[in-house]
Amino acid sequence: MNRVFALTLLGALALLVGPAAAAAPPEGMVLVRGGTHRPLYRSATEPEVVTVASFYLDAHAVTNRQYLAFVRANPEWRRSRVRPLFADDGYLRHWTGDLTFDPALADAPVVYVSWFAARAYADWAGKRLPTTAEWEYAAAASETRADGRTEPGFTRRLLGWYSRPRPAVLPSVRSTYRNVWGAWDMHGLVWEWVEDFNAALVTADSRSSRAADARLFCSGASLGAADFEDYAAFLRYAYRGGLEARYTTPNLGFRLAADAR
Amino acid sequence: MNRALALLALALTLAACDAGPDVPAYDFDAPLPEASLYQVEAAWTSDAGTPAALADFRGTPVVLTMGYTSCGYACPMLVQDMKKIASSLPEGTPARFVLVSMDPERDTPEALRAFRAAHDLGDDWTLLTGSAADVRTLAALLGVRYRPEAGGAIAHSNVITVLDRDGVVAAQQEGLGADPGTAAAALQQALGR
Repeated sequence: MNRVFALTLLGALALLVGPAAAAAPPEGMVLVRGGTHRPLYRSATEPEVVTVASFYLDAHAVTNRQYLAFVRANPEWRRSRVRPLFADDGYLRHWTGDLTFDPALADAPVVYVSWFAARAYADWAGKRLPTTAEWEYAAAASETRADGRTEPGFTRRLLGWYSRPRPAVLPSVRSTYRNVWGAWDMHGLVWEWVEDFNAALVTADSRSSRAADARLFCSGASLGAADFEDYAAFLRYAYRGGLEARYTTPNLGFRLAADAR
Repeated sequence: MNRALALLALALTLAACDAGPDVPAYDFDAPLPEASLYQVEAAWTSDAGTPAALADFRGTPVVLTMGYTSCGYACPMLVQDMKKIASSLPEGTPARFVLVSMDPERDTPEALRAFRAAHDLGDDWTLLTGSAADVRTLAALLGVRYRPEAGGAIAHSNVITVLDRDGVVAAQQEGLGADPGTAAAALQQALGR
């Protein structure tokens, strides 16, 4: 009897403590609790919301200092050695040499990195790039709500950040705002690579022509937007649609994700 | 003895280069150009169920596309477009035709074999499947965009790529029903014609 009671108690405790214990994220990462995400574009046959499972996300974008450690350990990713297949000639342009950069940039997000470079960094770090759905889900959070779009003024604030000119010297990470998940600078500092950036089915050539899209893309049904108010999301979607995996730009960096255990 | 070895080596070299009288020999020992896709490591499985690498095609130009076998419309059209390229080449032109699946979960070697039979693909065709990460990498290298949708369809851009004998992209045609002329010309050029 006592044993049964003890087992029951243990089970109840496990239920109470279990999820919380499992939720402790690795150092430098935050837990983004799963939920539903309403993708900006979907075809007529797709459900309006997709489920995003809980995952870990870096609390801030990968910095120049962090990226330097990767480059030291992986000489093939040095500026002078990177293969043109994997990065255009802007790769790490803001660095002063293979292993040097302005010390003021040490904690600023690393930029001028290609998708291939971001992915190689992720492999090295034992993590992965977030998917578009994960990134968008995490980035929808304001300081106080998981869905910041329900908070008056949040969407407008985002747009304000998007339209601000890029500062001459990129600020350090943790310089804008921290959202409810604990993730810093999801908007307002740099754009970020996602694993499936090439799932955005628009191209610079086809943007203006629906007929061209129909010829170029095999798709069961036409795409429709879910929220015409969310201009910032449109901007991100169009931006990803214009990217190629080897592109590097002065305002495109990345942060990593991992499956929640 | 040395002479016998030299002769044997010569015979092997000649055999390796037996791709038609007007095809220049290919130096398999030369380093690959930096832009070669054959430098990218990825573990594919062929429809025969055996491990395969894109670099296995080194020395022969390749016509390559990405699709998936349960695709109802565009992928059969892509295969037709590749057959059009094949039929616009002179008889005996050495070329490989490769379909890489972007649907690794469903496109098992068995599914690929069924697709091969259904579309009557010849010995010069290879169908490959691999990991989701390797598929994403190859798509990124080729500029192919794709997005799995609910219900199992995969929206994707229709791109056919010609690789030269080194595995460097020589030409790409986008969209269905394109004129096979450009791809065929790029392939001929890759053979020094």
